[in-house]
Amino acid sequence: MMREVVVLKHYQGWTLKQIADRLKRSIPSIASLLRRGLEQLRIRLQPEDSSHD
Amino acid sequence: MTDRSAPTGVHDPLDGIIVEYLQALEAGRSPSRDELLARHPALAERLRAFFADFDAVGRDASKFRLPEASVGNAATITHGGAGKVEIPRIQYLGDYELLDEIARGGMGVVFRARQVSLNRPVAIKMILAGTYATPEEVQTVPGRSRGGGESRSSEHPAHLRSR
Repeated sequence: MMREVVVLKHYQGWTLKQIADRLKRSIPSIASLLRRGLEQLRIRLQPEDSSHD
Repeated sequence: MTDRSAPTGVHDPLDGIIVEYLQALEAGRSPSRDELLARHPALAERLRAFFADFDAVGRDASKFRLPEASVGNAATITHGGAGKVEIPRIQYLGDYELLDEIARGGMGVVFRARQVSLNRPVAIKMILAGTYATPEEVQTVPGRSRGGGESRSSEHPAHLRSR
């Protein structure tokens, strides 16, 4: 779900409302998914040797 | 708005601010980040982190393209003078997220895809037309019945379960 939101928002240019309607969630929960999705993306894209696991 | 049981647990006040910011952007305005940060000092640090992530993805979208290896041999196949074909980025076709190309023939191309609403893997066959065909063109696949869907167990004549 996080992935869908990031893709729809960032790559397809959908509005929060459009995404909320499509995924049948509230607008704040879409914002939350976007925020956490972007965060995950950043974490996963960190080079392995600099990860802080 | 249907209120589904929140997947995120308790509503985070940060998300309300993000909604305000993004909806201002969507409306064509230029919301002031500094003003938002000043108005919500307790959340400023997390809000800054969001802005940083938001900018990073927007600025460097090329990083997130599908790796070439995942589009099969598409890069080396030419057809109809159109040159090499590859999926330029993550693409949706309605409810389907195209993942990569499985096979290609003279008329069609088959993509591995995921049906988002049901989160299941599917294969989508499309008629070649330019880069890829539109869903409307899929409807014109010759030899496929589209009037009597009752004869098929699948929901769509051009839609096969991939397992």
